[in-house]
Amino acid sequence: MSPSPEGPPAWKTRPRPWPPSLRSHPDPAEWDDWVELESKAWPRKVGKRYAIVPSLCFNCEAACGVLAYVDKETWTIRKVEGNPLHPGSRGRLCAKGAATVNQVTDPDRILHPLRREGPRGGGKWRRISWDEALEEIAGRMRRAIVEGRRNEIMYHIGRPGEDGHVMRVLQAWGVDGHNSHTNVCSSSARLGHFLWSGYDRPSPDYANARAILLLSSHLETGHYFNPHAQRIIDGQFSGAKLIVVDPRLSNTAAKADLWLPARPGTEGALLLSIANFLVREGKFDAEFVRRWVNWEEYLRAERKDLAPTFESFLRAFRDLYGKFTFEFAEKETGVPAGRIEQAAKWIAEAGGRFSTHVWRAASSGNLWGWQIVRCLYLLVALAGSVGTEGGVNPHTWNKFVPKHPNPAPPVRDWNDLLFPREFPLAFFEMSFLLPHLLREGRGKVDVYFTRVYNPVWTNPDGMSWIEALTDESKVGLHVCLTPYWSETAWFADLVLPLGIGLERHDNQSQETHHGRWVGFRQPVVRVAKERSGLSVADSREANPGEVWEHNEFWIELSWRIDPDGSLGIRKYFESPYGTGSKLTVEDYYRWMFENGVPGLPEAAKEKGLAPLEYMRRFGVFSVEEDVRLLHERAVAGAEVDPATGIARKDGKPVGLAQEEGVVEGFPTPSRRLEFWSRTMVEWGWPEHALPGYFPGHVDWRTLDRGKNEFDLLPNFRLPTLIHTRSPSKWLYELANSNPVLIHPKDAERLGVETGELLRVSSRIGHLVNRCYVTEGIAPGVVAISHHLGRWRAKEEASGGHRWSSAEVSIEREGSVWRIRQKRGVEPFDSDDPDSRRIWWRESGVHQNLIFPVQPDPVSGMHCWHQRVTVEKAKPGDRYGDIAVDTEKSFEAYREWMEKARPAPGPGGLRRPLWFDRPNRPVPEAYRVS
Amino acid sequence: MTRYAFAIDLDRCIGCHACTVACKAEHEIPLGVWRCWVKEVDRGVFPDTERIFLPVLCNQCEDAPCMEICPTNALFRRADGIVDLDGDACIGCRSCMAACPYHQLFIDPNTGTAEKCNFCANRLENGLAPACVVVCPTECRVFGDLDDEEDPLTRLLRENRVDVRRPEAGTGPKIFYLGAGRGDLDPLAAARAPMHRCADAGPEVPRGPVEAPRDPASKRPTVEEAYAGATPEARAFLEAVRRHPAGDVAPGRPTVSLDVFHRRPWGLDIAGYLVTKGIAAGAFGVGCATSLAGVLEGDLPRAVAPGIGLAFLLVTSALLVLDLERPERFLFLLQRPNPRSWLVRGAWCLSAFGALCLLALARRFLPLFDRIPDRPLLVAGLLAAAAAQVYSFFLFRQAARARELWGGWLRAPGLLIEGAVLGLGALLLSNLMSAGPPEQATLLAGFLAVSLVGHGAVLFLDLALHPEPGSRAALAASKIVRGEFALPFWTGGVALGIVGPLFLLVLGGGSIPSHAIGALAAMVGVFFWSRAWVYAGQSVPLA
Repeated sequence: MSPSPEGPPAWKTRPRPWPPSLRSHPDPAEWDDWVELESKAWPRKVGKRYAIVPSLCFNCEAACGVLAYVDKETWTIRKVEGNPLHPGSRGRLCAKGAATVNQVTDPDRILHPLRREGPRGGGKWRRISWDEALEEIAGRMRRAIVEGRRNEIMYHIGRPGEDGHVMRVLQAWGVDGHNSHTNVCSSSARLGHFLWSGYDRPSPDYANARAILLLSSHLETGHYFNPHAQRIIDGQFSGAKLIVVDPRLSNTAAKADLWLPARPGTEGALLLSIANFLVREGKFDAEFVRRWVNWEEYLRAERKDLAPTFESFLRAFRDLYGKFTFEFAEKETGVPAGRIEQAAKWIAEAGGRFSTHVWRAASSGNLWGWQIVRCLYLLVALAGSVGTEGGVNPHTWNKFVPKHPNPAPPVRDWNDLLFPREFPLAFFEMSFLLPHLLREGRGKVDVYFTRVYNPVWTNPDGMSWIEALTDESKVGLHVCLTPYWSETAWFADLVLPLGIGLERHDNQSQETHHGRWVGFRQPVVRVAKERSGLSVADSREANPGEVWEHNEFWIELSWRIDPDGSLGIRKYFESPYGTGSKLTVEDYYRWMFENGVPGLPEAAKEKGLAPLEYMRRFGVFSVEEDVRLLHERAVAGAEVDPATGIARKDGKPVGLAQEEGVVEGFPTPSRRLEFWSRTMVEWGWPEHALPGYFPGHVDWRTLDRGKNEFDLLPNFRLPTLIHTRSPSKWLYELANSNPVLIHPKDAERLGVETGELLRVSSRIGHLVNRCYVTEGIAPGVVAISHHLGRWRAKEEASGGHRWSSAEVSIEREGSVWRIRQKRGVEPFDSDDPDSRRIWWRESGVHQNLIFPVQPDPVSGMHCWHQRVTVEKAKPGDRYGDIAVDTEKSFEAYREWMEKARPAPGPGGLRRPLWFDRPNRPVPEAYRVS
Repeated sequence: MTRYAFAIDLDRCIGCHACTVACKAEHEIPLGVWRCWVKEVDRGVFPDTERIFLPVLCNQCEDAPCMEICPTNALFRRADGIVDLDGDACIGCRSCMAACPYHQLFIDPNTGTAEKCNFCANRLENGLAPACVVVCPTECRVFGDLDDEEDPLTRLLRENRVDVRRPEAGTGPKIFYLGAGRGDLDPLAAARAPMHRCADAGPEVPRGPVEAPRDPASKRPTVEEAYAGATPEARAFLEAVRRHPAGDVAPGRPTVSLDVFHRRPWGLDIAGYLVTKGIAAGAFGVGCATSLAGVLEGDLPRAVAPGIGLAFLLVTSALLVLDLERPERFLFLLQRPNPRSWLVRGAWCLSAFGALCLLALARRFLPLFDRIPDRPLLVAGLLAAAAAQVYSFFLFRQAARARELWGGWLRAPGLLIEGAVLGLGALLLSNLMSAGPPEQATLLAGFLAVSLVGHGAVLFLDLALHPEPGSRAALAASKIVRGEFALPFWTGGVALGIVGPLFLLVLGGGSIPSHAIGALAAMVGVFFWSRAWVYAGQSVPLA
């Protein structure tokens, strides 16, 4: 009975694991009025009526399909389940998705717009109306725009959770002000993939693979945990060998057939030894490499001594990587050679059915982390598993972003606070350097929006963020758009409650597998009310308190910036159907689904629905299944450049001439997979032209064990927490502390046992945390989970949610800041009786504060691993103590900036033209003016 | 017929805890209690370290100890084999929690009634698979009908080696595990640390001091120093962890790295009930016996003994009723009794006991009752007292598939002897307070001394000789003898409760203080012993 006959046949699946007499979910035909037997009354059979509304989860970026059960009497959300029609998540959820309902009912939610009173960060708030808030923001923005200071407007987003909407808003405003979190997250992973293929992330077909190599922890976290975990296990059960490289026993490593705990930063040596093995043994796809790798370009540029033949390339390859034997790799990584050889053999046997992924982990931990990714992708190229069944697609093949109505042209400016000169190849905005760039006087932010973003907590060197955010000459008006209190909201001028995942509209799509789908996030109570014939003017009428949805907020704000249309902004916020009337979200998505999604209008028609009705009812549309080998797709009517083989249409490269004709190839300058990168040579990094082994910035050889120096891994996550925005009692009940994971031998040397206090010092400060002694971490390495250690400066809710945060005192003496916990997590009174039943007592320790910024000079990624000294806590040290010197952190910033090789590059460019960027401006803006 | 069951493929489980949360959402389970959860255990030596994930939920046992012991039939079996629970019928006695060999029941703090997994019967009746099955990303849970030959579950069970949790409990569990390695399902195989990898180990488990010692020269703090203010159980727990550095934290020793916690179902109230009931039954029993034997005469055996019996029966009843989570429902015991439950049978025993105490008093004081023949009444009284005392043996034994320590048959004579100690002690004290004849005191003191010797002998046999070495019962016994309960047991139960009183009674020269202190100490000693026995029985992990 599942998938439902009423829904679209969205995916191929094996029978679900229960008798055919049972279903996973009610059929879509029953979603308007579903009678549930209330579990709380059981065994009395009490029926309760629900409207079931599909939406998308927003507790990570995977956008899994959810069904919200909206109580038709109280219009509250009873529970959230998976949407069985969703081709990515297939009706299943992780703990975070299932816990969504906690976020809706969290007693510490922000329900009304608030304005700061007194000094910024002083913690005094006044409730204001949305009107007041909008007028203040719009007035200030209008002044900036009229006075030619557009770039003093900045929108800083952590998780977008949508594809294209806000970017369109920024373009409509003409503002180069999109800032992101990507450089503390995945830039190096992206750059590594991009240099090879022109695509910035992989989309592995795990389910059909024979070997899966992960430098990530996709069985517990990452893009896209739930959909990927399903398919990794499916793959493993169909015979794939799972190989995991990680110095920590992640849950993923625990499920691996082979765990290779390479010393941090040495992963490249391990990967190259496998590459060397594949080529030496002739166990690679020579035909694929010959056809698709730019070996000829490499030979012509760097091996003029050799004839430009494929055989010469193999010789050159051996010259480059011959020294990477398994024994060499063992010496570098600490992993026994035999295990690496076993991995290599499994990969060789898998042939084209070889899937890989790397996300964060080694790539975001280490200086030159993107080189680790290039080494990994070298294996993909050698296996010829690009776009194959069981191989790795470029992500865009499996992601679908619909056209948005009435788009604005690209912006014309370049904001140096986002992409400073020093980082021409930075893959995303240098977001985490903002306080330092401001301190150097490189600019000012007059209106600063933060959204699903908590830089004070999430970014390294949060104390420098506090210094910047409290300096009104650097940050004019800080508008925090947030459903919950955070360490950053504390330092805002306006705190505006925008909705969580179940309270907003978005279109979103992700490369969860080898299909393409587009999902529709909906404010579920609003939709349920509308289904029942109640009219809802805007989402505030259906959400708790005065919580709004961001799309309506942007439309309203844009109208107020340009009330008469004279700035040329308002026209982008008018209905695509009417003449001059204000755009509604209804019209926005109606237009998108009528015009922007191929096949959707037809599929809707078949069911007698309008496209928007279809999406409201099912929540997702499967655009395509089994998307593979698009680089081999034939291209007609293009002009071929005989010298390079590159085919163009209207001057734009669209394909590559191969033996049998023009095919699409890859969006790189050579239209091939770029083993050798001309870009790297031209932009001043000739030593990085090829995939290579470059140990990270915390090289194990340089750690002074006598001084108790360790490599700290602060960038791993838990499967049950949602970055810094999970006010979920059920999730914090599962994970509520982040002790220092340490190997038993190291613990013995320090004389500590599980539970005892350690002092962990970086070059800018220290923290005090408990230790957890485990055989699940490599000796010489310590690890602290990214998630925990939330704090608030005030006893009551404002400033942090009390399920998880400690109340702290913050003291400053010059550049030295000290945080001490006044009390840990404690039961509190609220409408939810569970708040009195909190049984955990500690909040974890905030570690990012003691990290200096460490921008990778190429990708711009913050290199998360830290060289730390670990010792027994000193007299008087208390759990949760943190001390930081921001002068030292500024020094560290300057040192790392020295590593950069600034623009301009060839042609006076700020950035290679083929390097995309968010909110991409016109090509002229790429030139240094 | 339908018999629903689960197969859980441990090789597919990735420890994401979606099941735990989906269950909390479906049934709105409060914090601190769980219908289902996933335990994680790390083992092996780096780099050969492993982690296993063990999802657990109610086994819906074919022979369910929780149903057997439930006094009010709140637990019942559905036609599809599921053991379901009717909160409206539950009095909150927690005996199901004590009897379940798997830690699968708890008290819902919202309702004060028991709660357990019922395979989402509310969903099944609506045609939907259980919430934990539907949500599972990797489909590690296979749900099906054991009575359907064609069911994928049945095929899976036919074609694979499967294991169940604690097969020795003999309850016929219906959660079958695929891919379980040796010891994976054994609650005792893994050591416990004072905290988990990413969470507190529980509200009673202190992680360690919050502040480092101010004096840098100070040596490592003792457990007492480090955990001043923590509960004794918590300290004992930590001590146990620390004391075996070579055992518990030895390289490669499996260690629980994430788990939930379970509250002890029976606490001080139950230890107290054993004592008050012992006083009641003992006093009346001794009164009847000594009258029958003709060694005692007068008001002490004829009026004081039944009087004490009745008074302490009332105290006992009050303790039992107040110990209920839903005390206002205590009459359910009589209104909707489960005759198989020893709670119910015990209530009957206590009622009969109370009636005979009343009769004895009536016969003593009301001429109307003179016609009741004396000897039969005394025999009946003795039997009722013995029944009131010894039924607890059967009650605890009904939970002994979970708490093996309570299964030892020596507890039957043990309880009778403890009753004698308590009864004799009470009568001796009464005799002293009412300035009764000294020869009566000497006689009672003599009996008390003999009883104490018997008490000591049974304790020795029970703890040292009876439990099969290496068994869970032996582990629990060892916790009394040399583990976390040793201190109160040896000082309170043995030194204060047996050796001291014996010394005073035998060598005290028959002085009033020696009798008084001896009797009191012996009675307090029984309390310490009962407490150790009740607690230790529940101290061996079940999950």
